[in-house]
Amino acid sequence: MVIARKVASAGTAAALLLVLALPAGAKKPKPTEPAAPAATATPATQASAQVIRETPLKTEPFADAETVSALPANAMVQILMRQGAWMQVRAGETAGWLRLLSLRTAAASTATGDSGLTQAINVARSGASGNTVATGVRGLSKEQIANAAPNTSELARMGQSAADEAHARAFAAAAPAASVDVPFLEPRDN
Amino acid sequence: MKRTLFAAAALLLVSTAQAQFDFTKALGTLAEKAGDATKVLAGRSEDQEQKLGAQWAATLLGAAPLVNDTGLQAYINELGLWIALHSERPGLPWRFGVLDSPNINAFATPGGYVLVTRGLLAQLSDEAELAGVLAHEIAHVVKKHHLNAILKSQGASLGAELLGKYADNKLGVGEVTDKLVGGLKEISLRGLDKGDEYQADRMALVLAARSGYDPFGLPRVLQKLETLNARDSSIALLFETHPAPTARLDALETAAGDKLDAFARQPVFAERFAAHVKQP
Repeated sequence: MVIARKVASAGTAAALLLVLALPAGAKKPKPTEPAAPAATATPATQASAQVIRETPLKTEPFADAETVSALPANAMVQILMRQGAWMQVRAGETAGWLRLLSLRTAAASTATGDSGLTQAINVARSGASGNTVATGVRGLSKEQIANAAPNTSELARMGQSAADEAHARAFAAAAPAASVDVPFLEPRDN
Repeated sequence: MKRTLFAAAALLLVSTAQAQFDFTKALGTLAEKAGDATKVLAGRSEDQEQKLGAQWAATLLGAAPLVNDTGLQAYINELGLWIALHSERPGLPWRFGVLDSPNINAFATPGGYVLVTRGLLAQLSDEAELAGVLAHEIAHVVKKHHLNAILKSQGASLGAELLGKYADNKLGVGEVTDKLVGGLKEISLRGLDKGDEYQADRMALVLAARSGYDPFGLPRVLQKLETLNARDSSIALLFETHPAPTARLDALETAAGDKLDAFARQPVFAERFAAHVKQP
């Protein structure tokens, strides 16, 4: 069994430990990589996902990492954990890393409307797989929008909650979230 | 020239000269009206854009009121404005709100109104995911995607003539007719242009990254939505009005490649999100 030896540096991989026997002396992160904040490494139970397009399975969550194998489009994998733009997955006997955007979680197969990754994340967050969709409950349905009369008093309430720039900046600073210069993407899909 | 071709086509279909005249006239009138309608949102007047957006938002608030939680509403306004400050229209009077509805959806209306449902919040795990959702809606406002939808509704119940009056300031908020409200509802139920949805997704990743968040919050929300049953009434409208989550993820992968990977280690602020958004 091939297992990518790279695991998250953050000590949040409790769920992972349950499903993977970690090799002793897991590699340290590359010095150039900033340590991942604990919150960005999301342990997940074995949720299924499908590969959107043919994609290389990497030994580590980096584009220039060694390729373990090439997964064909629609291959099924088990999600082990997420780190940044990458998901650690198991494909059959092989484990490795795929880009997050190359995966779609398995389609809903039941009427409960809550499965797979959502449930896995709920479990990771709260320890319970609650949070199911309230099937059949009507609220903001097509009918309700079609029959709605404008509610100007609620509109006024919405205006009262509006933030000003100073508060928004203080909110960001408290996180702390800092502005970064990022250019927009080219519309290569249209 | 175009009109002549259309007229010729009409002549082939209907052989009387009278029919040809009417068809040509109708086309000309439609073009004039479209010209007026474009004034509403195409930069003629931000004030008109605000009024239209306010009326539209009031209609959505008529379908579901705001969640009665001032702390939550303040939280989403501070986060939303912080992201909007990184857009091309930072100076709009941005207003955000959480609708008291179990349905999973989010809306934007012209001029800076953004609404998300508590049903959608219940699906989210951290602030980066909410940032991604809000950034997508902010992008619709910034790029005036509603204009495209309104222009496509020509001939539907949202009359271009009515919008023309709006553009010329001949129709105050107090005088807004049922017809206009009906037209705006129609667009809310039919959705925006699919290409505009993909553009809003692309912009959302960048806006989240610019604001200091992990840009992959929105893709993670899309991955969750995909696991939900499209026939479930709580999410049916979102699925009817947007491209499939898989198609959106696919488009994002094509557009983003590894360009945003460097920002994927930016924080998600799960704890602050949990402190403000009480999950059921």
